[in-house]
Amino acid sequence: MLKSAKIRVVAIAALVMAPGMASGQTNGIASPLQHVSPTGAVTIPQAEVPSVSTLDAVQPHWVFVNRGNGQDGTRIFDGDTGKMKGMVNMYGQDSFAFDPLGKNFYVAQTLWTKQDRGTRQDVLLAYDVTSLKLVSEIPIPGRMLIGNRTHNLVITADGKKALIYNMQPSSSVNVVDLEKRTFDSKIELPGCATMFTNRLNGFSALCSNGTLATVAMNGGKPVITRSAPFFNATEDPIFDTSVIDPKTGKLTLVSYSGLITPVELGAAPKIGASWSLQQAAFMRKGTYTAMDVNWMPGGRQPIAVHHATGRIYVLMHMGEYWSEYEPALEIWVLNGNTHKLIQRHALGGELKGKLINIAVSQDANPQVYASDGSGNTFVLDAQTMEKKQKMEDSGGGILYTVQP
Amino acid sequence: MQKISIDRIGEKLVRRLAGHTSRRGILSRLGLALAAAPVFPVLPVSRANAQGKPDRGDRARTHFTMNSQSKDDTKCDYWRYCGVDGNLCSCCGGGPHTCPAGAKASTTSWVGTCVNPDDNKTYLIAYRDCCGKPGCGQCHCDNQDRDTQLYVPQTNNDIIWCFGLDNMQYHCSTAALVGAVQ
Repeated sequence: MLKSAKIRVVAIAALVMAPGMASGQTNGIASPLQHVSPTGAVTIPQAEVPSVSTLDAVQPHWVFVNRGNGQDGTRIFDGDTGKMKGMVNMYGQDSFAFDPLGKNFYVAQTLWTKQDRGTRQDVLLAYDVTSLKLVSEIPIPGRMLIGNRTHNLVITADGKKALIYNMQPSSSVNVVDLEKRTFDSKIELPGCATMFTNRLNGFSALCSNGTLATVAMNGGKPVITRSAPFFNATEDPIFDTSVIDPKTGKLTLVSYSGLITPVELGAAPKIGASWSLQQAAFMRKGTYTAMDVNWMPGGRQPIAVHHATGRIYVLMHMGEYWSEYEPALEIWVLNGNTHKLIQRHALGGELKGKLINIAVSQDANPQVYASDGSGNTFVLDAQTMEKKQKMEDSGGGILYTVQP
Repeated sequence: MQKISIDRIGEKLVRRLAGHTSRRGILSRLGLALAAAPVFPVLPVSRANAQGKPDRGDRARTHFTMNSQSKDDTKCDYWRYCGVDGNLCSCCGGGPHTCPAGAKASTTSWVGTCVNPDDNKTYLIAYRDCCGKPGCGQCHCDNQDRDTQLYVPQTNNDIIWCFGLDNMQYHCSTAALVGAVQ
Protein backbone atom coordinates (compact mmCIF):
# COMPACT_ATOMS: atom_id res chain seq x y z
CA MET A 1 0.00 0.00 0.00
CA LEU A 2 2.72 2.40 1.01
CA LYS A 3 4.76 1.70 -2.10
CA SER A 4 1.80 2.13 -4.40
CA ALA A 5 0.91 5.37 -2.65
CA LYS A 6 4.40 6.73 -3.27
CA ILE A 7 4.20 5.78 -6.90
CA ARG A 8 0.89 7.55 -7.12
CA VAL A 9 2.33 10.72 -5.57
CA VAL A 10 5.24 10.74 -8.00
CA ALA A 11 2.90 10.18 -10.91
CA ILE A 12 0.63 13.03 -9.83
CA ALA A 13 3.62 15.34 -9.35
CA ALA A 14 4.81 14.52 -12.85
CA LEU A 15 1.39 15.29 -14.26
CA VAL A 16 1.27 18.60 -12.41
CA MET A 17 4.69 19.58 -13.67
CA ALA A 18 4.04 18.42 -17.21
CA PRO A 19 2.02 21.38 -18.49
CA GLY A 20 4.58 23.87 -17.31
CA MET A 21 7.47 21.98 -18.84
CA ALA A 22 5.61 21.29 -22.01
CA SER A 23 4.66 24.92 -22.38
CA GLY A 24 8.31 25.81 -21.98
CA GLN A 25 9.06 23.81 -25.10
CA THR A 26 6.13 24.74 -27.25
CA ASN A 27 5.16 28.31 -26.40
CA GLY A 28 8.25 30.07 -27.59
CA ILE A 29 10.15 29.82 -24.30
CA ALA A 30 13.73 28.92 -24.90
CA SER A 31 14.88 25.45 -23.99
CA PRO A 32 17.24 25.05 -21.02
CA LEU A 33 20.19 24.69 -23.37
CA GLN A 34 19.68 28.22 -24.62
CA HIS A 35 19.94 29.67 -21.12
CA VAL A 36 23.65 29.57 -20.69
CA SER A 37 25.17 32.04 -18.28
CA PRO A 38 28.58 33.68 -18.87
CA THR A 39 30.10 31.14 -16.52
CA GLY A 40 28.71 28.33 -18.58
CA ALA A 41 26.11 27.28 -16.04
CA VAL A 42 22.76 26.33 -17.46
CA THR A 43 19.75 28.20 -16.08
CA ILE A 44 16.62 26.11 -16.09
CA PRO A 45 13.28 28.03 -16.25
CA GLN A 46 11.16 27.37 -13.22
CA ALA A 47 7.71 25.92 -13.60
CA GLU A 48 5.10 28.61 -13.10
CA VAL A 49 2.27 28.38 -10.66
CA PRO A 50 -1.07 29.82 -11.78
CA SER A 51 -2.00 32.89 -9.79
CA VAL A 52 -4.66 35.58 -9.61
CA SER A 53 -3.86 39.26 -9.54
CA THR A 54 -5.26 41.88 -7.20
CA LEU A 55 -5.97 45.55 -7.71
CA ASP A 56 -3.94 48.36 -6.22
CA ALA A 57 -5.80 50.97 -4.22
CA VAL A 58 -8.19 52.84 -6.49
CA GLN A 59 -6.42 55.82 -8.04
CA PRO A 60 -7.88 59.21 -8.99
CA HIS A 61 -6.84 58.67 -12.60
CA TRP A 62 -8.70 55.41 -12.94
CA VAL A 63 -11.82 55.57 -15.06
CA PHE A 64 -14.56 52.97 -14.75
CA VAL A 65 -16.30 52.32 -18.08
CA ASN A 66 -19.73 50.82 -17.70
CA ARG A 67 -20.89 47.98 -19.91
CA GLY A 68 -22.21 48.68 -23.37
CA ASN A 69 -21.48 48.27 -27.06
CA GLY A 70 -22.11 44.55 -26.64
CA GLN A 71 -19.43 44.25 -23.97
CA ASP A 72 -20.38 43.13 -20.49
CA GLY A 73 -18.53 44.20 -17.35
CA THR A 74 -17.34 47.53 -16.03
CA ARG A 75 -13.75 47.91 -17.18
CA ILE A 76 -11.25 49.79 -15.10
CA PHE A 77 -8.58 51.74 -17.00
CA ASP A 78 -5.58 53.70 -15.80
CA GLY A 79 -5.89 57.07 -17.52
CA ASP A 80 -2.15 57.67 -17.27
CA THR A 81 -1.18 54.56 -19.20
CA GLY A 82 -4.38 53.64 -21.01
CA LYS A 83 -3.99 50.11 -19.67
CA MET A 84 -6.83 48.04 -18.30
CA LYS A 85 -6.53 47.25 -14.61
CA GLY A 86 -9.45 44.91 -14.13
CA MET A 87 -13.18 44.40 -14.46
CA VAL A 88 -16.21 44.42 -12.20
CA ASN A 89 -18.76 41.77 -13.22
CA MET A 90 -21.85 43.36 -14.76
CA TYR A 91 -24.41 42.25 -17.31
CA GLY A 92 -27.52 43.53 -19.05
CA GLN A 93 -29.07 46.46 -17.25
CA ASP A 94 -27.01 46.12 -14.06
CA SER A 95 -26.25 49.28 -12.07
CA PHE A 96 -22.91 50.26 -10.51
CA ALA A 97 -21.94 52.36 -7.48
CA PHE A 98 -18.86 53.20 -5.45
CA ASP A 99 -18.73 52.65 -1.71
CA PRO A 100 -18.17 55.93 0.20
CA LEU A 101 -16.16 53.85 2.68
CA GLY A 102 -13.91 52.58 -0.12
CA LYS A 103 -14.32 48.89 0.65
CA ASN A 104 -16.60 47.64 -2.08
CA PHE A 105 -17.87 48.11 -5.58
CA TYR A 106 -21.62 47.62 -5.58
CA VAL A 107 -23.68 46.16 -8.42
CA ALA A 108 -27.46 45.83 -8.56
CA GLN A 109 -28.24 42.89 -10.77
CA THR A 110 -31.20 41.03 -12.22
CA LEU A 111 -31.08 37.51 -13.58
CA TRP A 112 -33.30 34.53 -14.22
CA THR A 113 -32.68 30.99 -13.04
CA LYS A 114 -32.78 29.65 -16.59
CA GLN A 115 -31.24 32.65 -18.38
CA ASP A 116 -34.25 33.69 -20.47
CA ARG A 117 -36.90 32.06 -18.31
CA GLY A 118 -37.43 30.71 -14.85
CA THR A 119 -37.50 32.65 -11.62
CA ARG A 120 -36.41 36.28 -11.60
CA GLN A 121 -33.76 37.13 -9.04
CA ASP A 122 -32.82 40.68 -8.06
CA VAL A 123 -29.73 41.08 -5.93
CA LEU A 124 -27.29 43.64 -4.63
CA LEU A 125 -23.72 42.40 -5.03
CA ALA A 126 -20.70 43.69 -3.15
CA TYR A 127 -17.26 43.13 -4.66
CA ASP A 128 -14.06 43.65 -2.72
CA VAL A 129 -12.15 46.60 -4.21
CA THR A 130 -8.82 44.78 -4.07
CA SER A 131 -9.56 41.16 -4.92
CA LEU A 132 -12.69 41.95 -6.97
CA LYS A 133 -14.16 38.85 -5.40
CA LEU A 134 -17.83 38.71 -4.57
CA VAL A 135 -18.14 39.21 -0.83
CA SER A 136 -21.87 39.62 -0.43
CA GLU A 137 -25.06 38.84 -2.31
CA ILE A 138 -28.21 40.37 -0.89
CA PRO A 139 -31.64 39.52 -2.37
CA ILE A 140 -33.88 42.50 -3.04
CA PRO A 141 -37.55 42.54 -4.07
CA GLY A 142 -36.94 44.17 -7.43
CA ARG A 143 -35.22 46.91 -9.37
CA MET A 144 -35.79 48.91 -12.50
CA LEU A 145 -34.31 47.53 -15.69
CA ILE A 146 -32.57 50.31 -17.58
CA GLY A 147 -28.99 50.82 -18.58
CA ASN A 148 -26.65 53.77 -18.40
CA ARG A 149 -28.02 55.62 -15.40
CA THR A 150 -25.76 57.01 -12.70
CA HIS A 151 -28.37 57.46 -9.99
CA ASN A 152 -30.39 54.24 -9.89
CA LEU A 153 -28.07 52.60 -7.38
CA VAL A 154 -26.61 54.97 -4.79
CA ILE A 155 -25.05 54.55 -1.37
CA THR A 156 -25.85 56.85 1.54
CA ALA A 157 -23.09 59.16 2.74
CA ASP A 158 -22.29 57.00 5.77
CA GLY A 159 -21.93 53.92 3.57
CA LYS A 160 -24.57 52.05 5.56
CA LYS A 161 -27.50 51.92 3.17
CA ALA A 162 -27.84 51.10 -0.50
CA LEU A 163 -30.75 52.66 -2.36
CA ILE A 164 -31.95 50.79 -5.43
CA TYR A 165 -34.55 52.38 -7.68
CA ASN A 166 -37.46 50.16 -8.59
CA MET A 167 -40.39 50.37 -10.97
CA GLN A 168 -42.70 47.38 -11.20
CA PRO A 169 -44.38 49.46 -12.51
CA SER A 170 -45.03 51.84 -9.59
CA SER A 171 -41.99 53.84 -8.46
CA SER A 172 -40.24 52.95 -5.22
CA VAL A 173 -36.82 52.68 -3.63
CA ASN A 174 -35.56 49.44 -2.11
CA VAL A 175 -33.29 50.07 0.85
CA VAL A 176 -30.57 47.57 1.77
CA ASP A 177 -28.84 47.58 5.16
CA LEU A 178 -25.18 47.14 4.21
CA GLU A 179 -24.09 46.40 7.77
CA LYS A 180 -26.60 43.62 8.33
CA ARG A 181 -26.37 42.61 4.69
CA THR A 182 -30.13 42.36 4.40
CA PHE A 183 -33.00 44.04 2.63
CA ASP A 184 -34.28 46.74 4.94
CA SER A 185 -37.38 48.44 3.59
CA LYS A 186 -39.24 49.80 0.62
CA ILE A 187 -39.97 53.50 0.20
CA GLU A 188 -42.84 54.42 -2.09
CA LEU A 189 -41.78 57.34 -4.29
CA PRO A 190 -44.52 57.95 -6.85
CA GLY A 191 -43.60 60.15 -9.77
CA CYS A 192 -39.95 60.53 -8.82
CA ALA A 193 -36.63 58.93 -9.78
CA THR A 194 -32.91 59.74 -10.12
CA MET A 195 -31.59 59.65 -6.58
CA PHE A 196 -28.94 62.00 -5.17
CA THR A 197 -27.67 61.26 -1.67
CA ASN A 198 -27.26 64.10 0.80
CA ARG A 199 -24.98 64.57 3.79
CA LEU A 200 -27.76 63.57 6.18
CA ASN A 201 -27.78 59.95 4.99
CA GLY A 202 -31.01 60.56 3.12
CA PHE A 203 -31.55 61.49 -0.49
CA SER A 204 -33.41 63.68 -2.94
CA ALA A 205 -34.98 62.71 -6.26
CA LEU A 206 -36.24 64.53 -9.34
CA CYS A 207 -39.99 64.36 -9.89
CA SER A 208 -42.30 64.53 -12.87
CA ASN A 209 -44.08 67.61 -11.54
CA GLY A 210 -40.85 69.60 -11.64
CA THR A 211 -40.08 69.33 -7.95
CA LEU A 212 -37.32 67.78 -5.90
CA ALA A 213 -38.50 65.22 -3.35
CA THR A 214 -36.33 64.80 -0.26
CA VAL A 215 -36.46 61.65 1.83
CA ALA A 216 -35.27 61.82 5.43
CA MET A 217 -34.16 58.42 6.74
CA ASN A 218 -33.51 58.77 10.42
CA GLY A 219 -34.33 55.29 11.55
CA GLY A 220 -38.09 55.69 11.75
CA LYS A 221 -40.57 55.89 8.95
CA PRO A 222 -39.08 57.84 6.03
CA VAL A 223 -40.40 61.37 5.75
CA ILE A 224 -40.84 62.78 2.25
CA THR A 225 -40.97 66.51 1.58
CA ARG A 226 -41.13 68.27 -1.76
CA SER A 227 -39.70 71.52 -3.06
CA ALA A 228 -41.65 74.01 -5.08
CA PRO A 229 -41.61 73.26 -8.83
CA PHE A 230 -38.45 74.62 -10.45
CA PHE A 231 -38.24 72.88 -13.83
CA ASN A 232 -40.47 71.55 -16.56
CA ALA A 233 -40.09 67.77 -16.68
CA THR A 234 -41.66 67.33 -20.11
CA GLU A 235 -40.78 70.54 -21.97
CA ASP A 236 -37.21 71.05 -20.75
CA PRO A 237 -36.21 67.97 -18.76
CA ILE A 238 -33.14 67.80 -16.55
CA PHE A 239 -30.73 65.08 -17.60
CA ASP A 240 -30.85 62.30 -15.04
CA THR A 241 -27.09 61.86 -15.40
CA SER A 242 -26.57 65.28 -13.78
CA VAL A 243 -23.81 65.45 -11.20
CA ILE A 244 -23.70 65.34 -7.40
CA ASP A 245 -20.68 66.08 -5.22
CA PRO A 246 -21.18 63.46 -2.51
CA LYS A 247 -18.78 65.23 -0.17
CA THR A 248 -20.73 68.47 -0.06
CA GLY A 249 -24.16 67.53 -1.34
CA LYS A 250 -23.86 70.14 -4.08
CA LEU A 251 -25.88 69.16 -7.10
CA THR A 252 -25.29 70.50 -10.61
CA LEU A 253 -28.32 69.94 -12.83
CA VAL A 254 -28.33 70.51 -16.59
CA SER A 255 -31.45 70.66 -18.74
CA TYR A 256 -32.02 69.81 -22.40
CA SER A 257 -32.04 73.50 -23.33
CA GLY A 258 -28.80 74.25 -21.49
CA LEU A 259 -29.96 75.61 -18.15
CA ILE A 260 -27.69 74.89 -15.20
CA THR A 261 -29.41 74.74 -11.83
CA PRO A 262 -27.25 74.48 -8.69
CA VAL A 263 -28.81 72.83 -5.66
CA GLU A 264 -27.47 72.40 -2.15
CA LEU A 265 -28.99 69.21 -0.87
CA GLY A 266 -30.05 68.90 2.74
CA ALA A 267 -33.15 68.59 4.89
CA ALA A 268 -34.60 71.46 2.85
CA PRO A 269 -32.66 71.69 -0.43
CA LYS A 270 -31.61 75.16 -1.51
CA ILE A 271 -32.39 75.46 -5.19
CA GLY A 272 -30.28 78.17 -6.78
CA ALA A 273 -31.13 80.39 -9.71
CA SER A 274 -30.77 78.72 -13.08
CA TRP A 275 -28.28 80.13 -15.55
CA SER A 276 -27.79 79.56 -19.25
CA LEU A 277 -24.79 77.80 -20.77
CA GLN A 278 -25.31 79.74 -23.99
CA GLN A 279 -25.54 83.11 -22.28
CA ALA A 280 -22.34 82.32 -20.42
CA ALA A 281 -20.82 81.97 -23.89
CA PHE A 282 -22.28 85.35 -24.98
CA MET A 283 -25.00 83.77 -27.08
CA ARG A 284 -28.74 83.90 -26.85
CA LYS A 285 -30.28 81.64 -24.28
CA GLY A 286 -31.20 78.17 -25.44
CA THR A 287 -34.89 77.68 -26.04
CA TYR A 288 -36.64 74.43 -26.48
CA THR A 289 -38.87 75.27 -29.37
CA ALA A 290 -39.32 73.99 -32.90
CA MET A 291 -36.65 74.62 -35.51
CA ASP A 292 -34.68 76.89 -33.21
CA VAL A 293 -31.13 75.75 -33.77
CA ASN A 294 -28.60 76.61 -31.11
CA TRP A 295 -25.73 75.10 -29.19
CA MET A 296 -27.22 72.49 -26.86
CA PRO A 297 -25.88 70.04 -24.29
CA GLY A 298 -26.17 66.48 -25.47
CA GLY A 299 -25.22 62.87 -24.96
CA ARG A 300 -26.02 60.17 -22.46
CA GLN A 301 -23.75 61.67 -19.84
CA PRO A 302 -23.33 65.25 -21.07
CA ILE A 303 -21.88 66.96 -17.99
CA ALA A 304 -18.95 66.50 -15.62
CA VAL A 305 -17.93 68.67 -12.66
CA HIS A 306 -14.55 69.03 -11.00
CA HIS A 307 -15.85 69.62 -7.52
CA ALA A 308 -12.82 71.27 -5.92
CA THR A 309 -12.61 74.02 -8.55
CA GLY A 310 -16.24 74.13 -9.63
CA ARG A 311 -15.25 73.67 -13.27
CA ILE A 312 -18.02 72.30 -15.43
CA TYR A 313 -17.34 70.32 -18.61
CA VAL A 314 -20.25 69.97 -21.05
CA LEU A 315 -20.62 68.08 -24.31
CA MET A 316 -22.20 70.54 -26.77
CA HIS A 317 -23.67 70.15 -30.24
CA MET A 318 -25.62 72.29 -32.69
CA GLY A 319 -29.19 71.17 -32.56
CA GLU A 320 -32.79 71.95 -31.83
CA TYR A 321 -35.16 70.50 -29.33
CA TRP A 322 -35.26 66.72 -28.93
CA SER A 323 -31.62 66.45 -29.94
CA GLU A 324 -30.59 65.71 -26.37
CA TYR A 325 -28.60 62.58 -27.16
CA GLU A 326 -26.68 63.97 -30.12
CA PRO A 327 -22.89 63.56 -29.88
CA ALA A 328 -20.68 66.56 -29.25
CA LEU A 329 -18.97 68.93 -31.63
CA GLU A 330 -17.36 70.89 -28.79
CA ILE A 331 -16.54 70.58 -25.11
CA TRP A 332 -17.34 73.72 -23.15
CA VAL A 333 -15.55 74.47 -19.91
CA LEU A 334 -17.27 76.85 -17.50
CA ASN A 335 -16.74 78.16 -14.01
CA GLY A 336 -19.70 76.93 -12.01
CA ASN A 337 -19.11 79.51 -9.30
CA THR A 338 -18.97 82.61 -11.52
CA HIS A 339 -21.11 81.21 -14.37
CA LYS A 340 -18.45 82.32 -16.83
CA LEU A 341 -17.27 80.46 -19.88
CA ILE A 342 -13.61 79.50 -19.58
CA GLN A 343 -13.10 77.94 -22.98
CA ARG A 344 -14.76 76.24 -25.92
CA HIS A 345 -12.83 73.32 -27.35
CA ALA A 346 -13.74 72.25 -30.88
CA LEU A 347 -13.43 68.51 -31.27
CA GLY A 348 -11.53 67.25 -34.29
CA GLY A 349 -10.56 64.00 -35.92
CA GLU A 350 -12.07 60.90 -34.40
CA LEU A 351 -13.52 62.93 -31.53
CA LYS A 352 -15.69 65.18 -33.70
CA GLY A 353 -19.37 64.35 -33.56
CA LYS A 354 -18.74 61.17 -31.60
CA LEU A 355 -18.58 61.80 -27.86
CA ILE A 356 -21.69 61.10 -25.75
CA ASN A 357 -20.24 60.51 -22.26
CA ILE A 358 -17.91 62.71 -20.23
CA ALA A 359 -16.34 62.51 -16.76
CA VAL A 360 -13.46 64.18 -14.96
CA SER A 361 -11.06 62.96 -12.30
CA GLN A 362 -11.30 64.71 -8.95
CA ASP A 363 -7.62 65.22 -8.13
CA ALA A 364 -5.59 68.43 -8.33
CA ASN A 365 -4.25 67.47 -11.76
CA PRO A 366 -7.47 66.39 -13.41
CA GLN A 367 -7.97 64.33 -16.54
CA VAL A 368 -11.11 64.39 -18.66
CA TYR A 369 -12.53 61.11 -19.90
CA ALA A 370 -14.95 60.88 -22.79
CA SER A 371 -16.40 58.02 -24.79
CA ASP A 372 -18.30 57.49 -28.01
CA GLY A 373 -20.64 54.69 -26.98
CA SER A 374 -19.05 52.47 -29.61
CA GLY A 375 -16.30 51.10 -27.45
CA ASN A 376 -13.75 53.93 -27.57
CA THR A 377 -12.87 55.83 -24.41
CA PHE A 378 -10.46 58.76 -24.59
CA VAL A 379 -8.31 60.45 -21.98
CA LEU A 380 -8.07 64.20 -22.57
CA ASP A 381 -5.92 66.87 -21.01
CA ALA A 382 -8.30 68.89 -18.83
CA GLN A 383 -6.71 72.19 -19.89
CA THR A 384 -6.21 71.72 -23.61
CA MET A 385 -8.54 68.77 -24.37
CA GLU A 386 -5.58 67.23 -26.18
CA LYS A 387 -6.04 63.51 -26.62
CA LYS A 388 -3.67 61.63 -24.33
CA GLN A 389 -4.90 58.07 -24.50
CA LYS A 390 -7.36 56.00 -26.47
CA MET A 391 -8.80 52.81 -25.06
CA GLU A 392 -10.50 50.66 -27.69
CA ASP A 393 -13.12 48.00 -26.94
CA SER A 394 -13.51 49.57 -23.55
CA GLY A 395 -17.30 49.21 -23.25
CA GLY A 396 -19.81 51.78 -24.29
CA GLY A 397 -21.54 52.96 -21.17
CA ILE A 398 -21.46 55.58 -18.46
CA LEU A 399 -18.09 56.70 -17.08
CA TYR A 400 -17.29 56.81 -13.37
CA THR A 401 -14.40 58.40 -11.53
CA VAL A 402 -13.69 57.84 -7.88
CA GLN A 403 -14.55 60.64 -5.49
CA PRO A 404 -11.76 62.05 -3.29
CA MET B 1 -71.72 46.09 -23.86
CA GLN B 2 -69.09 45.89 -21.20
CA LYS B 3 -66.29 45.77 -23.77
CA ILE B 4 -67.58 48.87 -25.47
CA SER B 5 -67.70 50.64 -22.16
CA ILE B 6 -64.11 49.76 -21.34
CA ASP B 7 -63.06 50.85 -24.79
CA ARG B 8 -64.65 54.24 -24.33
CA ILE B 9 -63.00 54.71 -21.00
CA GLY B 10 -59.70 53.74 -22.54
CA GLU B 11 -60.13 56.10 -25.43
CA LYS B 12 -60.98 58.94 -23.12
CA LEU B 13 -57.93 58.30 -21.02
CA VAL B 14 -55.63 58.01 -24.00
CA ARG B 15 -56.98 61.13 -25.64
CA ARG B 16 -56.49 63.05 -22.44
CA LEU B 17 -52.99 61.64 -22.31
CA ALA B 18 -52.18 62.75 -25.83
CA GLY B 19 -53.86 66.09 -25.61
CA HIS B 20 -51.71 67.14 -22.72
CA THR B 21 -48.39 65.62 -23.73
CA SER B 22 -46.64 68.59 -25.21
CA ARG B 23 -48.80 71.45 -24.06
CA ARG B 24 -48.92 71.44 -20.35
CA GLY B 25 -46.83 68.58 -19.15
CA ILE B 26 -49.52 67.42 -16.78
CA LEU B 27 -49.01 64.03 -18.29
CA SER B 28 -45.88 63.58 -16.39
CA ARG B 29 -47.96 62.35 -13.53
CA LEU B 30 -47.03 58.78 -13.27
CA GLY B 31 -50.30 57.53 -11.98
CA LEU B 32 -52.27 58.64 -15.00
CA ALA B 33 -49.89 57.03 -17.43
CA LEU B 34 -49.80 53.79 -15.55
CA ALA B 35 -53.54 53.75 -15.40
CA ALA B 36 -53.73 54.28 -19.13
CA ALA B 37 -51.04 51.80 -20.11
CA PRO B 38 -52.99 48.58 -19.53
CA VAL B 39 -55.81 49.98 -21.61
CA PHE B 40 -53.79 50.19 -24.83
CA PRO B 41 -54.09 46.49 -25.69
CA VAL B 42 -57.89 46.61 -25.69
CA LEU B 43 -58.12 49.50 -28.10
CA PRO B 44 -59.31 48.21 -31.49
CA VAL B 45 -56.93 48.30 -34.38
CA SER B 46 -59.54 50.19 -36.38
CA ARG B 47 -58.66 53.17 -34.26
CA ALA B 48 -55.71 53.47 -36.60
CA ASN B 49 -58.11 54.60 -39.26
CA ALA B 50 -59.52 57.39 -37.20
CA GLN B 51 -59.89 60.65 -39.03
CA GLY B 52 -56.91 62.88 -38.44
CA LYS B 53 -57.52 65.89 -36.30
CA PRO B 54 -55.89 69.27 -36.79
CA ASP B 55 -52.26 69.08 -35.85
CA ARG B 56 -50.81 71.04 -33.00
CA GLY B 57 -48.76 73.54 -34.90
CA ASP B 58 -45.10 74.24 -34.50
CA ARG B 59 -44.61 71.95 -31.52
CA ALA B 60 -45.01 69.05 -33.92
CA ARG B 61 -42.32 70.33 -36.28
CA THR B 62 -39.35 68.36 -35.12
CA HIS B 63 -36.31 67.51 -37.16
CA PHE B 64 -37.58 63.94 -37.32
CA THR B 65 -41.04 64.97 -38.45
CA MET B 66 -39.71 67.18 -41.21
CA ASN B 67 -37.75 64.25 -42.62
CA SER B 68 -39.98 61.24 -41.95
CA GLN B 69 -41.57 58.92 -44.52
CA SER B 70 -44.59 56.61 -44.56
CA LYS B 71 -43.56 53.90 -47.03
CA ASP B 72 -40.98 51.70 -45.35
CA ASP B 73 -41.53 50.55 -41.76
CA THR B 74 -38.11 48.90 -41.65
CA LYS B 75 -36.36 52.28 -41.67
CA CYS B 76 -35.68 54.48 -38.67
CA ASP B 77 -37.28 57.48 -40.37
CA TYR B 78 -40.66 55.77 -40.71
CA TRP B 79 -43.05 58.31 -39.22
CA ARG B 80 -44.35 56.21 -36.33
CA TYR B 81 -40.85 55.74 -34.97
CA CYS B 82 -40.40 59.37 -33.84
CA GLY B 83 -39.86 58.25 -30.25
CA VAL B 84 -38.56 54.71 -30.64
CA ASP B 85 -35.33 53.41 -29.16
CA GLY B 86 -34.38 49.86 -29.94
CA ASN B 87 -34.55 47.23 -32.65
CA LEU B 88 -37.50 47.51 -35.01
CA CYS B 89 -39.69 44.41 -34.85
CA SER B 90 -40.40 44.98 -38.55
CA CYS B 91 -36.80 43.92 -39.16
CA CYS B 92 -36.95 40.94 -36.80
CA GLY B 93 -39.72 38.84 -38.31
CA GLY B 94 -42.59 40.88 -36.92
CA GLY B 95 -44.22 44.13 -37.92
CA PRO B 96 -44.85 47.65 -36.65
CA HIS B 97 -47.50 46.29 -34.28
CA THR B 98 -46.63 42.59 -34.34
CA CYS B 99 -44.07 40.72 -32.27
CA PRO B 100 -41.85 38.16 -34.01
CA ALA B 101 -42.64 34.48 -33.54
CA GLY B 102 -41.91 33.20 -30.06
CA ALA B 103 -41.65 36.63 -28.49
CA LYS B 104 -44.09 37.91 -25.92
CA ALA B 105 -45.84 41.25 -26.26
CA SER B 106 -45.60 43.50 -23.25
CA THR B 107 -48.89 44.64 -21.77
CA THR B 108 -47.45 48.10 -21.11
CA SER B 109 -45.88 50.69 -23.35
CA TRP B 110 -44.31 54.08 -23.53
CA VAL B 111 -45.99 56.59 -25.77
CA GLY B 112 -45.07 59.01 -28.49
CA THR B 113 -46.90 61.60 -30.52
CA CYS B 114 -45.80 61.48 -34.15
CA VAL B 115 -46.89 63.31 -37.29
CA ASN B 116 -48.04 61.28 -40.28
CA PRO B 117 -46.56 62.96 -43.37
CA ASP B 118 -49.46 61.71 -45.51
CA ASP B 119 -52.07 63.82 -43.74
CA ASN B 120 -49.86 66.05 -41.60
CA LYS B 121 -51.81 65.06 -38.50
CA THR B 122 -50.51 64.02 -35.13
CA TYR B 123 -51.16 60.53 -33.81
CA LEU B 124 -50.60 58.78 -30.55
CA ILE B 125 -48.24 55.83 -30.84
CA ALA B 126 -47.88 53.05 -28.25
CA TYR B 127 -44.35 51.63 -28.26
CA ARG B 128 -44.69 48.14 -26.92
CA ASP B 129 -41.63 45.96 -26.46
CA CYS B 130 -41.53 42.33 -27.51
CA CYS B 131 -39.73 40.28 -24.94
CA GLY B 132 -38.48 36.87 -23.84
CA LYS B 133 -35.86 36.41 -26.55
CA PRO B 134 -32.33 37.76 -26.97
CA GLY B 135 -32.02 41.22 -28.46
CA CYS B 136 -32.91 41.07 -32.16
CA GLY B 137 -29.96 43.22 -33.16
CA GLN B 138 -31.51 44.36 -36.44
CA CYS B 139 -32.43 47.91 -37.45
CA HIS B 140 -31.45 49.72 -34.28
CA CYS B 141 -32.98 53.19 -34.04
CA ASP B 142 -32.66 55.81 -31.33
CA ASN B 143 -35.13 58.57 -32.11
CA GLN B 144 -35.72 61.16 -29.46
CA ASP B 145 -38.89 63.14 -30.08
CA ARG B 146 -40.40 64.01 -26.70
CA ASP B 147 -38.17 61.50 -24.96
CA THR B 148 -38.09 62.36 -21.30
CA GLN B 149 -35.92 61.23 -18.43
CA LEU B 150 -36.53 58.46 -15.96
CA TYR B 151 -38.73 60.51 -13.63
CA VAL B 152 -41.26 60.79 -16.48
CA PRO B 153 -41.22 57.10 -17.39
CA GLN B 154 -44.24 56.98 -19.68
CA THR B 155 -42.31 58.84 -22.38
CA ASN B 156 -38.87 57.42 -21.65
CA ASN B 157 -37.60 55.05 -24.32
CA ASP B 158 -34.63 53.60 -22.43
CA ILE B 159 -36.72 51.63 -19.97
CA ILE B 160 -37.16 47.92 -20.69
CA TRP B 161 -40.90 47.95 -21.28
CA CYS B 162 -41.52 44.28 -20.60
CA PHE B 163 -43.57 44.77 -17.46
CA GLY B 164 -46.16 42.13 -16.73
CA LEU B 165 -44.28 39.30 -18.41
CA ASP B 166 -42.53 36.40 -16.78
CA ASN B 167 -39.33 37.38 -18.54
CA MET B 168 -38.07 40.88 -19.23
CA GLN B 169 -35.43 40.03 -21.81
CA TYR B 170 -35.75 42.74 -24.48
CA HIS B 171 -36.10 41.53 -28.08
CA CYS B 172 -37.49 44.39 -30.20
CA SER B 173 -39.95 47.30 -30.24
CA THR B 174 -43.25 47.81 -32.01
CA ALA B 175 -45.03 51.08 -32.74
CA ALA B 176 -48.77 50.55 -32.69
CA LEU B 177 -50.97 53.38 -33.87
CA VAL B 178 -53.52 54.19 -31.18
CA GLY B 179 -55.40 57.11 -32.61
CA ALA B 180 -55.37 60.71 -33.69
CA VAL B 181 -54.48 63.36 -31.15
CA GLN B 182 -57.21 65.85 -30.50
